[in-house]
Amino acid sequence: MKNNNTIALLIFGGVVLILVSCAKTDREYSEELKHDKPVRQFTAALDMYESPSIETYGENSIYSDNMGSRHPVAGTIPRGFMPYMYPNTNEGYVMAGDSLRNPYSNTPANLAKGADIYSKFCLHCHGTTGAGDGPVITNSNGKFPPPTSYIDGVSSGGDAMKDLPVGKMYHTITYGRNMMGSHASQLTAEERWKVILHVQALINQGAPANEAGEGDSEEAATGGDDASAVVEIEEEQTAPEEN
Amino acid sequence: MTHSLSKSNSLNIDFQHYLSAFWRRKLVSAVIILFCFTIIVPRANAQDEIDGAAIFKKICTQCHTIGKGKLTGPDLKDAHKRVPQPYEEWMVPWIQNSQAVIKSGDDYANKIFEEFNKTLMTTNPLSDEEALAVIQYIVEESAKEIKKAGAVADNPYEPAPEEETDNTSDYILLAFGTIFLALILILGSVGKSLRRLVAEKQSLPEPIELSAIASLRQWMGSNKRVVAVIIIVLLAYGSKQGWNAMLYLDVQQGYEPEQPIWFSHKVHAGTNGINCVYCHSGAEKGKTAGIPSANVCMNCHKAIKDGTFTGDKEIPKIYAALDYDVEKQTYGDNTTPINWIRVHNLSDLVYFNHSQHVVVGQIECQTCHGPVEEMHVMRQESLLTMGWCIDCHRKTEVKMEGNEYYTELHAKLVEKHNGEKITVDKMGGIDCARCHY
Repeated sequence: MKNNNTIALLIFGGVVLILVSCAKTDREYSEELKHDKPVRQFTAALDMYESPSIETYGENSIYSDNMGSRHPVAGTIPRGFMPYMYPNTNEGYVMAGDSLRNPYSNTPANLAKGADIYSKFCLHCHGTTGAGDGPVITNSNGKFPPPTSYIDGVSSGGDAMKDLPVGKMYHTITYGRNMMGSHASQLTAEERWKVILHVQALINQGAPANEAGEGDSEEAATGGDDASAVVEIEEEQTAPEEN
Repeated sequence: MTHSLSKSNSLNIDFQHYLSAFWRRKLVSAVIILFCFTIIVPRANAQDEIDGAAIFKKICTQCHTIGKGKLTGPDLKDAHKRVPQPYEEWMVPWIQNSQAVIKSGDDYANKIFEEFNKTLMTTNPLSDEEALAVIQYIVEESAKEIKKAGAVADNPYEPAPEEETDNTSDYILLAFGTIFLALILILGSVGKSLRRLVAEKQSLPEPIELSAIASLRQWMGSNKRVVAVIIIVLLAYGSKQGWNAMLYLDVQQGYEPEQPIWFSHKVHAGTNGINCVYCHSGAEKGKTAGIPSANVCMNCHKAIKDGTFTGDKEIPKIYAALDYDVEKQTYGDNTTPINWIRVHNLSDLVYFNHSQHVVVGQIECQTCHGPVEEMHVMRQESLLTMGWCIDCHRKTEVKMEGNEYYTELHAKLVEKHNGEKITVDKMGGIDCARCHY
């Protein structure tokens, strides 16, 4: 009798093992899985799954507006952040154009970073060459007016786009101008300056961005003393603040 | 032939005779009239030849529309009726050099300059004729009614028309089932009464009627081995089903909540090719990819006021949240946050960082989030279970090229795992404390 039990147990264990090993653990998405209410089921330790801490962008009943995300106290600035000193007016635009200089130089690394940012934040409107023919513009059936071409356009301030001072470019990215909105919440000051390097590269070459990219990588391969470039940047970075 | 020639000759002589006297005077006056026309008519002709529409599209559309709302500059529908009359005399110098008109102290010019926050209108090197052609185009276009394109259907949030399902096969099956059940019952009772009749005829004792449970018990008693096997298989199958159910406990794969604004990732990231990080710019900078604040929406929707599918209804919701006045292009103070519903929600007991995966690991967004550029409504495509994480960490190779900072460490790793692929788990990617702390 004892022997029989052992055999039964062994068979049972074997069958379970075979069946379980057949189970798929990487379930692919299919239409059947679609549901619009969350499936909260029994879990052993709910506190560990949903702790009392506030979720990012989550609700928080402590505050009257029920929002977890709070504005920083008025007047505080993030560590390492340099406030932009020119006002969002035409005078500020002209002043920025006169006095701001790009603290970053044309190193291959900076250009590559600029090209990367351009492809993510500018290309869909301004197009690969900067001619103002990005997919958003071409798909909008005239609803979105094309941005002025970098190469042969004239800016609303009266400058030819190819001669536009970097300070005016920076001012435009920071505050937005005409139909372009402010990109200050998406790009840090450093990223804004680096993407300007790429815009200038586009203007100088008047050539497709991918060709410019190839040129950059060649330069990167042949040389570029990165350490000295970094020192150069740090020195130049202080320049606009003194003005 | 000769006859006709001589005749024409005589005519020619006649003609010359007349020309020398009467026609010469007429011709002179005709030439004078023609000369006058060359001064006046070409002006009109040139206006017809210059394509006002083409000039308008080339230099004006960046700031102006005709009847589609204001952009950087005013909507030019019926502009010729608003400006000081006669409109040509005011508009031509304005188009050519607006600053000069403003400086001359013109009332209307200064009024609109103030109204548009002193935005400069570019000086346009156009001739009088070209400027007139543009004005003519504005006058013509103002007269046209703008047809509003109807919103195309195919909106997943609109209830789909109910399809009439074909139930006839189900009814047939049900009918057959009832017939068979009735047959079984009838035949059973017939068999029973037949057996009783046979017993009566042969004057045998009436057969003992066993209940269904009792007969099953009798059968089980005589077939113990079969019963044991059946029990084992049933138990095993039940265990497996239980195991599977536990695997997907609390797994939200396929979660597709209805959002407060019908936003289509397919239209934005797919058709219009907007990069993921344009809106989710936190993905490269920190732990959370982030929901874009409404000012990011306004970077495009300041100009684009109606959309492909539901834009007419949904884009005004952004304006309402921002308390934005479309006519005046100004923002109010009465803002309300948009209550987006979170789709991907990891348990609080695990740490996950977007920038680690997107920047350092160079993982495509689609690897975890699925083909977002093809989804109208966002859904959770992946399992987001620990097994799913570990699986990827075991398969993904570490990209070691172009990472000078860790050259030494990487060399040591390669040495340690001689010849093997260096995957994420080889450098501690499946350590418990890497994600749970």
